[in-house]
Amino acid sequence: MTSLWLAVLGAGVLYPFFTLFHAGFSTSLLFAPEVLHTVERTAVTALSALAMAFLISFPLARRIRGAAEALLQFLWVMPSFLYALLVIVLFRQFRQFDPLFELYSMRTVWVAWVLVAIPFLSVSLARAWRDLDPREDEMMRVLGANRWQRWIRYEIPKMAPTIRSALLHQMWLYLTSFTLVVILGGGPPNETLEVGVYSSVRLDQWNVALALAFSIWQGILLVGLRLALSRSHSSEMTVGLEWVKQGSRGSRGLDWRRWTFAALVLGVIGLVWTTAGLSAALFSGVALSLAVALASLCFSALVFALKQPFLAELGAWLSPMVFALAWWKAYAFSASPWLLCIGIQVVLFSPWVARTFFPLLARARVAELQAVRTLGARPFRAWLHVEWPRIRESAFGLFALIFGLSLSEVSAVILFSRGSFEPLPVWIQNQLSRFQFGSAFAGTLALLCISGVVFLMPSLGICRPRGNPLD
Amino acid sequence: MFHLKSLILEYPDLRITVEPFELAPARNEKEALYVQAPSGFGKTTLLRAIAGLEPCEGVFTNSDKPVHERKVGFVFQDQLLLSHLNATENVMLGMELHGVSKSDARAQAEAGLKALGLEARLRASVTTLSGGERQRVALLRALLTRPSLLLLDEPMRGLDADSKKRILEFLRHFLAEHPVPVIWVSHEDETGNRLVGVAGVTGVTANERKFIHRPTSARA
Repeated sequence: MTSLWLAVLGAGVLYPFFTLFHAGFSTSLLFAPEVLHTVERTAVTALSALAMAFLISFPLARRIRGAAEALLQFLWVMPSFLYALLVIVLFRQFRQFDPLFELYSMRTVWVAWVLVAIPFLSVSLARAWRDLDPREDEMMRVLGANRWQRWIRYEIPKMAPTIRSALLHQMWLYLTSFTLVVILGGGPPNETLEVGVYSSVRLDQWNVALALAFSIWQGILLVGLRLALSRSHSSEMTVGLEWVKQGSRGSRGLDWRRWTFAALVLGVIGLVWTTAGLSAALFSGVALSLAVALASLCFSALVFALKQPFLAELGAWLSPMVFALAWWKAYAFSASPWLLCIGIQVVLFSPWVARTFFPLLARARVAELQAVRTLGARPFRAWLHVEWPRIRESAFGLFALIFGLSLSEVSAVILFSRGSFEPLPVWIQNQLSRFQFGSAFAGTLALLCISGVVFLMPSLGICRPRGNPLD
Repeated sequence: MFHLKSLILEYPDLRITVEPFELAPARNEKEALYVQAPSGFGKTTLLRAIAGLEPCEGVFTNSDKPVHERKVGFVFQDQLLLSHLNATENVMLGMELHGVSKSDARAQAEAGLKALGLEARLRASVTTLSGGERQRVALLRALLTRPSLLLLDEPMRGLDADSKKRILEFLRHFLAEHPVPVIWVSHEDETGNRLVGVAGVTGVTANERKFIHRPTSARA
């Protein structure tokens, strides 16, 4: 029976991809100059941005500690819109001195990509530096290694798996980046494969065959990256979660968190009060993100209970825009956009949940569970008593992380948006396309404030159950 | 020959001093200097200070040189083999850092590992080696750098009789060919010179510890 349900689920997820082929697609389109040029532009921009970000992050990682590291972790989970606005402001300033700083070009996208990658790479590499065993470094010194030799023969080889994994993961984020390219590229020809898919099916162009050609190339690149990532056992996707965990330990520094929390809540209220049209978008965005975060946790728990962990990894092989396009074409006229957006984001974010959650769930305290069962507790009650207290902090941390990611996710939502359904990131996107920078900035600030509020909630114990669930 | 004129280790609540001694190259394990003291006395700290890994005041052979120029062979208590290298590469590492060519280092490492009974584990990841095998690799890595002083921090701890026998035989054979001063921290009842740690003797307060050199003849 389980297999049947899994087959139905699998067919439901994958069937839309096959419907894309009924739109005049031919294989020659894959090698059309326009398509190949987009592939080349995507790859070159991403690789060069990655190289530059790495060159900046590598020495930085050695020095960051404590508050600086917490700040970089926060910058990593910051909405893309904020980076986009930052780059726009920077380029507007510098353009007065040098025409090189031309807005709405791949150069702008490149700068934003470098800025976006620095926090993630720095934090990942800093963690790798810290994980090096100082006794091994001493051993190298005793063996006669000088500073340079220790770096080449010990530190770099030891850190290599983390470096490889962080670079591959960042490359994945570049290739699936949507918001930054849409805003800063300014449309064709300054776009990557991910945005090319979207541009091809806009009402003024409507070319599903071209979108499919972009999608196939995007799929080839992402599957290659995914395979490489699987080989390097990447665990870097959980980096944003650490901040939440660190924040929840002990009560030290709790006061500034309470003040920040209050300021952020007031900030959101003020922004909604003063910005026309923001409240409806905010409501849609928050409701959608809450539903996505909750559904992602439930879906992952279900997949774990059914012992089918590969289902949770499905989203790691898919590009958000390509996935959204397929579902949009197959189901947009027969199902609610709310349900479709939740479904797409749950599949896309489940790998993030699974990588942190599954190892935790797998380390169940079987002996204690059995002991509580012998006291007369039913299985769920025993789990609630033994396992839930152990995993709840991570569960709330993950909830916050998925909420934050979903809140600024555009590519999985933009095709489904309409008058009655315009979540916050799409609203900001629309404001930017109309050059309403003031409204866009207010929306982005609201997005940032809500992310901050949600990230602070577990550390303040606001969304953490108190006491023993059996009391 | 290893000369120690003075050595003082200062900590907020503790002061460790070592009486002067001279140590001739050992031609077998019985000629090593055994360091004997209760747990937590500072035996490992003493070895680390001589290796240059612990800040100290002192005058002894090579004490004015940085760690990597002291030519010390140190077998650490928990071996500290590098997990990204296999058994042979771990042994080669020390020699390569001392300027031995890669091919020579490989040949010597493989010959040494075979002599220690590890011929089937040459390419094995060090994470898969047993405690005894790891200890043999660590000892070989230290010995093949041709050190001017060998520091052994409880090299036999937790090993089975067979591993102990193999290590002792190899060490004896090596020292016979390449005599080198050896300082050996051990709980075993070995015969040989002793550097005995004492506390509470005349002139030593509760927060002071002293290592006193007692040759075999004096002890008897």
